[in-house]
Amino acid sequence: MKLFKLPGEMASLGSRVYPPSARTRRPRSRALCLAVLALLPLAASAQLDIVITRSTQRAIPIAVVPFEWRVTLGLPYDFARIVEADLERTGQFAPMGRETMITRPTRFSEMRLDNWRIMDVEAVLVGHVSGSEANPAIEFELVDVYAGKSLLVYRLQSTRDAFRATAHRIADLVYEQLTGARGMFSTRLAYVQVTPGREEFRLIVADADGQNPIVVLRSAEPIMSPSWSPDGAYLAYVSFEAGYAEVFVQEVVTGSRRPLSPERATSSAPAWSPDGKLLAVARNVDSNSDIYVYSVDGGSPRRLTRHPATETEPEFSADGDRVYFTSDRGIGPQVYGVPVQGGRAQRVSFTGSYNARPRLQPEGNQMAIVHQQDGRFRIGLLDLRDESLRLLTDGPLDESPSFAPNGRALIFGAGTAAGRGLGVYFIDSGILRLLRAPEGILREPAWGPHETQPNLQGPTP
Amino acid sequence: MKLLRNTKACLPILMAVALAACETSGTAARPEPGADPAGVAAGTAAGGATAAGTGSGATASGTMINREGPQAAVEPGRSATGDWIGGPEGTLVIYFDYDRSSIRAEYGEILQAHGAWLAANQGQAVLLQGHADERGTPEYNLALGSRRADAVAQALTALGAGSAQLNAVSFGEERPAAEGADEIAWSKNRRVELVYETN
Repeated sequence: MKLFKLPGEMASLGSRVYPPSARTRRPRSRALCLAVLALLPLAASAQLDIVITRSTQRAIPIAVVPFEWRVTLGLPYDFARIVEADLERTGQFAPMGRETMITRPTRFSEMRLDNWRIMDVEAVLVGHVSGSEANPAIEFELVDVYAGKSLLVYRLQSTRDAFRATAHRIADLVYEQLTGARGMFSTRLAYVQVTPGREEFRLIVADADGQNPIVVLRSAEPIMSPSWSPDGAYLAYVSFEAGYAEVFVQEVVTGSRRPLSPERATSSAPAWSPDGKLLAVARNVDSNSDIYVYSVDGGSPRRLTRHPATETEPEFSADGDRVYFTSDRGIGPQVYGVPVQGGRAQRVSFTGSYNARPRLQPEGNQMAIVHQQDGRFRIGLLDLRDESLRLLTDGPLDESPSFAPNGRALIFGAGTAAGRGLGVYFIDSGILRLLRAPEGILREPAWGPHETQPNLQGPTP
Repeated sequence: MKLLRNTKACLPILMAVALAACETSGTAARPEPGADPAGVAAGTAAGGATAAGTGSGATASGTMINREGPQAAVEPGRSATGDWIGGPEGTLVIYFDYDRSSIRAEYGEILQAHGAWLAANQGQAVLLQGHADERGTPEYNLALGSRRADAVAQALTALGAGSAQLNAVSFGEERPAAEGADEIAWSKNRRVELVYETN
């Protein structure tokens, strides 16, 4: 898929200002500059998408007008529907129903803004698809109704097998323009599906909305703890195929895989360093679990912690200088941090008697943890600046939190009274969604990184 | 514990006990983790581009792990041919308190019997599978299962078993004996299973 801004349109639209770059843009319309939001959809494939809590925050009223299909051949594809679903799912947007749209413009210049102001719509996305069926162009424009100006104009070249990805990319751009946070609709999830009777364990990679699930590993023995490499090309995970827990590294596209340690040692809870060169794991040596650091390329591990208590669940800091981990060296498990070169571990979590499995918020100051109190395991956000803890979920058996790469949502293993599934919590709207499998259970989700976007380098000359 | 040297004579009693143990451990049809490392058939996974559209079925080919070759024992204490090799007393599951790896006093005599039997049968090995209930994080529970298996291994070593006869592994919360989100199920899942291997 090719994605670039429309230089030609720029001229035809006169003095309208175009965002200088998709990465650095900030919301500039006052009317649209509401709360910062977050997003991401966990839709349902064959799965069921249940809204557990409704947002109490005001959602941005937006109209996503169906894109006009001007390609002479081929079945029309409903890009707008996917964009709308992505935005709606975050709880930060309130899309207007199509049936209430009086007109269906395809570009800003065709719009009568009064028609939309009457409907209390603040933003309108319009677009059309043209060109050849083999390589159609999708042009779209995001309009600020109250400021009366176009905020975004893009043209994307796509192909039919990439239409869905293209729609997610459009949603990313709209989301970023209106919230200031980079979109997360074009990302992927990894998680473990356990079939009924625990007969088969599957490692699955799916789109961020839960669609297109693909089994990348099947095993009769347990699979645990998937973890994406920072570039999204590899998954590290634990497989019991040899009769014990062992970390493997698998290339996602080819499926080629190898054990992390040539010695085939017991190891678990893999976590990548930000540069993708190191993997921190827990190893059980002489009846004592500690944190070790491996070079991804192989070689002998370096022992990072040395304590008779249980140390596990490592997580690198964003700068790669520290490793956080869970230890029960005190009363109950708590989160500690240690310099990656070794040294004295410092306790990080202090609220309550059970805080475990740290995951750091990208572009933020929070740490997601599993917090237990009165027998309920809940997902909490620990503020690393003031040590305050904010509980996001009710449990009773929530676990395995993982942040979206923009830090505005997290996915976790939800253990509710209704059973086990994947929960997605949108931090800015407070909305919680549950994704469940038609059969078996879903657990241990890991949210992948932003996809590399070589074609999103800015306007073409 | 010489009285149990001839296990064949005790077979009917032990079978009954073993059946009872299986009822609670629920291990009947599961492949034996102590078996040879699985044959791994690499497959093509997830051809990078996923087709647009519904894609609802998780049917794409993935890397498939197959267990090949002869299956090992499918019941704790029983060989592939069905012979009882489970040592003395028949109790093959040690249960634990929540988040604990200390062995309850009630298991002292039983472990004593196993330790002595292993000491007298140096050719026999036992796999100690540690498990945890579902509460708490999966990775922490994996470590907890290890602590439990190691605790049993240490007890058996102190009671006469050789370390070469003992193989401790943890399955964390991944292989519960009982499904359910209540104390009845959880209490059955916090356990170490003694799985006697054919030598």
